Order: sequence, then structure tokens, then C-alpha cells
Amino acid sequence: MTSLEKMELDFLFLAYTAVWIVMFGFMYRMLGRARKLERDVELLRKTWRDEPVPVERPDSAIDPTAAGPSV
Amino acid sequence: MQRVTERWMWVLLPLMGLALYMNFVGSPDDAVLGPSQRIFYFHMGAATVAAVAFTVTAISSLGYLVTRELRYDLWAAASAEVGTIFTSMLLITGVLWGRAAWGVWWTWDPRLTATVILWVLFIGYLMVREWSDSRERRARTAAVLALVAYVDVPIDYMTIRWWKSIHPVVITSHGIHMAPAMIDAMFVSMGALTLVYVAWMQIRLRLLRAEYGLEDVKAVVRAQWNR
Repeated sequence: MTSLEKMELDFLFLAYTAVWIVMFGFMYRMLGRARKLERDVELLRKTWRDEPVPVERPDSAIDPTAAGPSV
Repeated sequence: MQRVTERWMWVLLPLMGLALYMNFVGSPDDAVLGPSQRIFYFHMGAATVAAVAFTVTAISSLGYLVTRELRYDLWAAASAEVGTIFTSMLLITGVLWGRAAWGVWWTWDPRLTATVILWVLFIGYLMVREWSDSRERRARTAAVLALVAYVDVPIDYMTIRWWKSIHPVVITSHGIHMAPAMIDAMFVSMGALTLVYVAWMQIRLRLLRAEYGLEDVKAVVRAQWNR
């Protein structure tokens, strides 16, 4: 193996290792995001069950500062 | 159950390490191509996963069209995303290998052309999915498109057997034309990448379900608000 081939092989090894690490890091981040979303959805559902939001629609024509529904 | 599926992901790390070891240390240089042969292992693994992923997409799409259950649409969408990423890897490693083996970055060979068409078709599939807000309409359109796009998968596989192609045929009815150490490295790479696909699918499906759950909560709030 020539020194040029050796250098190319080293680059290829680094590139493959980098791709594996990026792939795993990406999956780990996606897992974190899924966990967070699941928690948020559960929290929203619980809040919705425990404290139903007011069903009356505030009339913004009368009161422009009327607060919207809070979940 | 979720904890088990999260923990088994860590098995991937040593398996990825083993695949890298087999690719770069455990297998010999090719007599003609030299060290550039090592591009092949990842290339083959990516091709296998892409084929499996698009097959899962096609079966799930068919499942949706028959049953109209949205869980099939989620499977199809997740698998198409992963399949498209692996097809991109397949093309990149193919271009690098082509430069080393043929002296050109790209040639309009039947195999290469069929693979690019497949990649474009599934990018189109993913774009179409973003166009509609209605879940049912999106699922129906995407399912039909996935089945049409999937026609290219067997064509892509058979191009090197049906037409004159400069792409090598590694696996034939007479066996695998490689040294045993190279075959081992190829199968370890294929196994590692297939497990990456399984893990990726699990996580992507979880995320898609959570996103749908959030949309459902929003829809309930909106319905109450508009009443």
C-alpha cells in the first residue's frame, strides 16, 4: 500500500466513523424529542381533563384585550 | 417496554465498532481495487436497508389502502424517510467507489440511473406528504405514490442482470464472488445497518405518534374554542 493509499484509507475510516457517530447522535436526539413531546402531550391531556378551558368565546370586538383559552 | 427498546439501542454502538473493525482491519485489500474496496461494505449495507425500507413502505401503504388505518400510514412514512436517507448514502458511497474503480464520478449506467430515479421518487413522496393538512387525504395520496415508486425497486435490483451494466454483480446464483473475510465484513455491515434501521424506525414512529397526539389535543381545543 502506497502512502497516498494509506492516507485515503485513513480518511475513509474517519469519514465512516463520523457518519456512524452522527447517525447515532441524530437518533439519540430524536429519541429525546419524542420523550419530550410524549410528556407534553400527556401533560396537556391531564390539564385538559382536570381543568376544562372556558368554552365561552371572548368577544374581541367588545374587549380587544380578552384573554384566549389557556391550556 | 419503552425502556427495553431504548436500552437495546446501546447494543448498536459495539456493533457499529465491530463493523468498522471488520471493514478496515478484518478484511484484506482487493487485488485489483486495493483499499478502495472497503467503500463497498457500507455501500452494500445501505443498499440492503434501502430495499428493506422501501418494501416496508410499500406493504404498509397497501395495508393503509385496504384497511384505512392510519398506523399503516405512519409506518410507511417513517420507513420512507429512513429509506431515502440510506439511498442517499448508497449514492454517495457509489460515486466514491465509481471514481476509484472506473475513474469517473458518475456514468448513466442502468443501475445508477435506476437508483437516482428511486431516490427522486421517494424525495417526491416525502414532499407530497407535506402538502396536505388532512391526514386521510395525505395518507391516501402518499400510499398510491409509494406503490408507484416501489415499482422501481425490483427494476433497480434487476438492471445489472437484464441490461448491459458496468456495475459489478457480487451475488449470483453461483454464490458470492469474494474472499471469505470480505463476505464476513459485508454481512456484519449489513447486519449493523439493518439494526440501525430497526432502531431508527422505532424512534421515528414514536415521534410521529407523539406529533399526532399533539395535533389531536390541538384539534380538541380548537373545536371547543370554535363552538
